[in-house]
Parts: sequence; structure tokens; C-alpha cells
Amino acid sequence: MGKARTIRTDKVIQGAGFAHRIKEKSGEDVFRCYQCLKCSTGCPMAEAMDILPSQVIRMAQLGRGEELLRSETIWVCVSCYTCSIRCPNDIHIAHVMDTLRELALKQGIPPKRGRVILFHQLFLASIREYGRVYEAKLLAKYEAKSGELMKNARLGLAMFRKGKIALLPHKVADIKGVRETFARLKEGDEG
Amino acid sequence: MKRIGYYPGCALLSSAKDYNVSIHAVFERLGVVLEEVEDWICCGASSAHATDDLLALALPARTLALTEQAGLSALLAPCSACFSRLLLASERMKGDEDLSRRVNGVIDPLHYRGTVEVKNILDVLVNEIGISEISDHLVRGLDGIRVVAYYGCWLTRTMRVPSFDDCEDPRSMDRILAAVGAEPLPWSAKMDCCGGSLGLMEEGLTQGLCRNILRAARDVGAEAMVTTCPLCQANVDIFAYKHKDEDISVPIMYLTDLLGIALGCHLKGSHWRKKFIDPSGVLKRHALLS
Repeated sequence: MGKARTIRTDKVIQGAGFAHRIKEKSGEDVFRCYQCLKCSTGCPMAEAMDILPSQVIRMAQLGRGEELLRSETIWVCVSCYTCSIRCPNDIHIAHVMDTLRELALKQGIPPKRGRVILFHQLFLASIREYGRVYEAKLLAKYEAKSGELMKNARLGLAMFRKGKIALLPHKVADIKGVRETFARLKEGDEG
Repeated sequence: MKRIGYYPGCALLSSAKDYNVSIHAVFERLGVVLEEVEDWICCGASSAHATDDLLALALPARTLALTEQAGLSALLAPCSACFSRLLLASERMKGDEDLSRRVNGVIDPLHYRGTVEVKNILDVLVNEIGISEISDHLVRGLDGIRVVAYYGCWLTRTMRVPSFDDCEDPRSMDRILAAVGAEPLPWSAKMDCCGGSLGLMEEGLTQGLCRNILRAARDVGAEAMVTTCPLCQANVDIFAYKHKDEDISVPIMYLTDLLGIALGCHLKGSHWRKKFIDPSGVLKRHALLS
């Protein structure tokens, strides 16, 4: 991770505004939750979370945005959709987690699990460069930047020997179009 | 001859090349032509949806638009992550004109009209081809090899889109395996998440998930695990390889690997050595490999 960007506190919304922003941006009606706790009891990552999924939804209703955006939970969630599929009120909780992650990043809040976001950024950079993921370069860059150099070296070598890592990237023909898509999204963000 | 659009996805070009091989062998045997969508791009996987919703829609939308351009009405995505991302993007665009306009604006000059049906491999095998058709092609029964069908998380968790199989207790893979002479065992972890989306970065957090899955497979006496997801395969296989000392390793194969044997496809000896936990021993015990 590079140095954390300054937090644009003016944009961190607390209170009712935050709750409605989450509802609008995610398209999920978090106000329907009546705390049955099915999401938390079925969550495979609950043990590692500082705020349980059911608590995330409650805190979203209460507009406690600051705590949510700074939580471990949003970076620990594996997006397995167990919570979403079981919610009796049809709240796609895993998608709400996505919305919280996106807001946290856009607010410049340093994520609790820095390696996770580093990986996501390198993964997306790979798509922008080639249109498809070029694992060899992605893994090498990740190892170098995460400070975990050599941690997975033995595994990498074993994968290479088994022909599980392609030597060369598979660049798509219309890479210009792919990059335009990325560029337009970036413009939209800043506008 | 049936034809269906094919989206191999990035994993099938690298870590899961062997999956791509056995899929092609099996579909050829079943008389289905896989038409790879030209110039498809990565679905964005977890990295897109975890960081930018519009990007998570735009990346699949580019490929879906290309699928339409190629005149294909259905698209087979064997990887559960690709399947989930493509399906959810397609369905959200279909159901929301304003969103569709925004996404199409970002991928212009490509344009997705919302006509593609995204399919996973179990859906195609059971509902498009049919189990009786698969049985008709049976060359070599699987000798009652005791396996557990591992569905993983995204395959049937299609959210607001009706799933091809029960979202909490799917059985389609078990039915296919039984039809070709394997003995699929009931077990508790068929839908449990392997933690693949965080596996590389937060191994400490996710290794308990893989351990529980392998233990559950061992507890019911499975000789092998069978999956259709390349991310589940890699994650569980690598975990077992790294934790050999724990004595919980069970080989994990693709459904099409076993179907390949059952339908008499020629898979090279090296095919089986692509896995970290080599399944050849188990297969030889059942005289399924010479």
C-alpha cells in the first residue's frame, strides 16, 4: 500500500443521511431488517469480524457510517452470499458490504486489511493492461508490494512446474476499448 | 449439433488449463460445440465488485455485448465466479433501464441489449444435454468410486434470479455422478465457501474453511472431491498440499475429469499430475486409469 490518502471527513456521512445513501447506492432496503441474526449465524467469517453482518445492517439503519467504513468486517467478508441467500427480508447483505467497501475507498479511509485492497488494485490493473488477468506478473507484483516476498515462492515454483502459471499474458485485441471503459469510469468518479 | 457460447475465463487459461481440456473432451463426446466468444475479457471477479459497482457491471457487459454480436443466445461460464459475475450483471441490466444506459455508456461503442442467457456447466449438463443423454454415452462406469460433490458458494446462489438447482441443497452434480457409476456421498460441506476470494491475501483467515471442507469429506469416507469451480479446486488443492502433515488431504477433481473417463475421452496421463494432490492412485484403485 502507498501512503494513506487524507480522509475527506466532509464526505463521511453519519446519521440518517448515511443510512439513505447506503440504501440508494446498494439498492438494498436495509430498513427491512428485524434482526433475526440468520446472516450472522451462517457467516463462515463471523469469527474474524469485529462487527457481525446483522450488526452491520443495524448500524447502517442507525447511520453509524464512520464505524462501518473503518471496520475489519468489510475487508474480511469473503462474498460467499450465504447471508444474502438466507435473509428472510430479501436484503442482499453481501452487496451492502460491497457498497461499504466502495464508499470506504472513495472516502480515502485506509482499509484495515491492506493486503486485500492491494491485491484488488493489482488484479484490476492487470485487466486494464491486458484485458485478462496475467497471473505471473500479478503474483510477482503482489509478493513484492505486500512485503511478503518469497512467502509463496515455493508454491509459485510448484505451480509453474505443473504448468499452472502461463508464461505470457493473453492480451485481448480490443485493449483500447477496455482501457476506454476504465478511463470513463475514472472520469465519472471525479465528476 | 448443439452450439453454445463459451467463456473459459482467466483461470482456465492458467491454473485450471486441465479443466478446459476435460470440458472440451466431454462436450465434444456429447456432440455440443463450444463457441468461444472472441476477445472476451476478465469478469473482474471479486476485485471489481469489492471496489467499484459500475466496473463490476461494465467488465461482464463488454463480454456479454460481444456474445450478442456473435449471435449467441446462451453463454456457458464453467467458473463459478465468472458465472456469478456475468449472470448478475446481465440480470441487473435487464431489470433496470437507467442502469443499463449507464453501463452501456461506459462500454460504448459496445452495447449490451440484455439477450444472453448465462449458464453454468451443471445447468447445461442436466437441463440442456440431459442426464439420460450422458448415460447413453457411457463407455466405462466409475466403479462405485466414493466421491463428494462440492458445489461451493456461487453456483446456486444466484440471488434474485431463479437458480437451476436448490440454493441450499443442490443435487444436480450428485445425480450426474450417480448416472455414470460413481457413488456420491451425502455430506455437510457441499455449499461451504472455500474462502477463495481472500485465499492468497488472508490465508490465516480462510484456511479454517478449507480444513473444515476436507475434514467433512474425510469424515464420510470420500475417496475424492468433485467440483466444477476452478477457484474452489485451486484453493482446496493448494491448502491440502501446504498442509500435507495434517493428513486430511483428499484429491479434488473436476466433474468433467471423471465424466471424461466415463465417456471414454482420451485424457493424457499428465492430466492427473496437474493437481497438487494427484488423484491417479484413487483412480487406479478402481481400474479407471491404466
